[in-house]
Amino acid sequence: MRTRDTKLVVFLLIVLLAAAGCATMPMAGGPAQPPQVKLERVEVASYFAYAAPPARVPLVLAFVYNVSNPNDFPVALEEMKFTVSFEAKPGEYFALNTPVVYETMHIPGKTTNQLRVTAVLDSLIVPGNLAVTSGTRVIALGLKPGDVVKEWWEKIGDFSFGVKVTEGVAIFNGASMVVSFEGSFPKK
Amino acid sequence: MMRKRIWSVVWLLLLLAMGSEAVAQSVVKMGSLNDMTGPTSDVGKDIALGMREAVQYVNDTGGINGKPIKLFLYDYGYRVPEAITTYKRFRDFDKVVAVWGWGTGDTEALSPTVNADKMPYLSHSFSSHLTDPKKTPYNFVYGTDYSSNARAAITAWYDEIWLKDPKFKADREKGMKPRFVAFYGWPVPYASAPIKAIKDQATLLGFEIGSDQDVPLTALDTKSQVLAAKNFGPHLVWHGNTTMSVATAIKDASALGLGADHIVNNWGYDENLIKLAGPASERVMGAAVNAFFGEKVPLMDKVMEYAKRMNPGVPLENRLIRTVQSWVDVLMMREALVRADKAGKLFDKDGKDLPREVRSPGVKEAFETLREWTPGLGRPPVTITPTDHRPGPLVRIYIIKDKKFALLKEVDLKKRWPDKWEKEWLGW
Repeated sequence: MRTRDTKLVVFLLIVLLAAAGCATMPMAGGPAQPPQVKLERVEVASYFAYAAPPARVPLVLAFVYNVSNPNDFPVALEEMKFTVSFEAKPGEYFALNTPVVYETMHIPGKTTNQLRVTAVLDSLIVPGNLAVTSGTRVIALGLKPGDVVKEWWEKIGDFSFGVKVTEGVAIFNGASMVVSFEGSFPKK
Repeated sequence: MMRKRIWSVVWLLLLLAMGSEAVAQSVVKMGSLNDMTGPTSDVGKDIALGMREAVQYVNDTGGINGKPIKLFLYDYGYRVPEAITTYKRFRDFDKVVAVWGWGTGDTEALSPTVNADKMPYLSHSFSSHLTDPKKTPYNFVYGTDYSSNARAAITAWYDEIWLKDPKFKADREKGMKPRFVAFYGWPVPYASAPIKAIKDQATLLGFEIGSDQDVPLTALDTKSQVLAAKNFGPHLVWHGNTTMSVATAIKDASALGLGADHIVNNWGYDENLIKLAGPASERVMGAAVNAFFGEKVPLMDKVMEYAKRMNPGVPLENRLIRTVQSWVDVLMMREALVRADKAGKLFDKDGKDLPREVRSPGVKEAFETLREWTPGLGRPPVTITPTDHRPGPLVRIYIIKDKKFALLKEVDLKKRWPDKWEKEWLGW
């Protein structure tokens, strides 16, 4: 009887230890590969025609990303941040916004998911942003913040100027994987 | 009987396992309001990067007694209505333990709500209006308040420059009073917050005070303000804005031969000032609430390591003192949360959130136990009491020499004016 009980205890302890071990066990097949984040496209998610100040006109853009998991096991995207820049003169980009999203997205192994991040710019805020973050360069390029904003708002439908994302960071699995990314649209 | 005992042990083990899982899943939710797009984004973006990096450091080094911080950080573009809306989301839906706030306008606008809600609120705004617990018991600041910065800056200039520097020898010997003017955005709550205090200090030190000059935060040309000030012939100009417009004003003052020295509040005094104002930045003095980015002080190695790790796309040479401020901000909050948690004020025994009525006073009381606390990073010791939320009387004033920041003077306002510090200056 005592032997049977001892066997039961040993069995249950093994089950418990195995269960506990599984939770922290490293994945088979070598170390995890970092997922990839690529800008697929930028869309005008909602359009309001430009109007001069004191009117306040939003510009609502959606950034669609492909997030690929090269591993055999799922990974969880927990946070993503990037900086949006618009082109004011050929090759001259100005950072305007840094959206951050916190939605958790599980990506199965060997799969690509899509993530849409919506970001809003404000025609009254952007000129101030240009002045405080890039004032010297704006003057050097002979630009006027108000004029630049008008042109961006009016031409965004054709994407006749470049949109860049820089300083992109995607955080996976409790920050055990931090992936940086950049991209541009339209793709050249 | 024996089998019963065995099953009891097994169930106990299972319960313990489940219990530890529950504790492991506890998170400390925190909200952070930041300006990455608005008129203070010249300093706000680096702050936002630093907040996230510092939170990761906290989580990697044990979190809040083993519980990680879950950060919700949002841009509000320096718009007060957006800040109020986001605060409501933090309070009602994210159910955060406390909030990291940003600007003076929104922090002061939110203050009645925050205090009615009893929401611990640690802000990047160091307005003195937030430091009197009789009026704002749940507001805290991590840097010396603007009024103390201003009083210390004008005092340091008076002691070290006016009384000693050959530049002003002739005027001193004529028995002239030093002349002072203030450049700042009049409608900007941050910029106008310490004006009453600096004029009070100027009067205390025997200055003659000229007319204020209104300089918008977004100013790219300040020639008219400089010319207006030139008629008064100031020896000293206070700059109360953020870096970009301060650099503009200093460059214009140099180009138009104003001839005055410059002292700057902490949000206008950083590594970008040297880049933007160039040679005109030489001799410019200002307040810094902690070490500059990359200075050799305890914990700076971690600041740099996490900057590289969490934001590899941002070159280190573009990082600012703002990142270091964020670390001080986050580490001060961590200290308060750790103390509150140890006192049993954050979670129940099952690791579930305690109600805000218990949690918030617990965090407030924990802040008020800080005595001569510092996280390193060149932050002078912080003391907060139930009757005084000013983090301390010691202000470091720097001067730019050969494109580098050098310590000009440490001003201990409490030591120099103990009665005024204790009885007169709190809260304005």
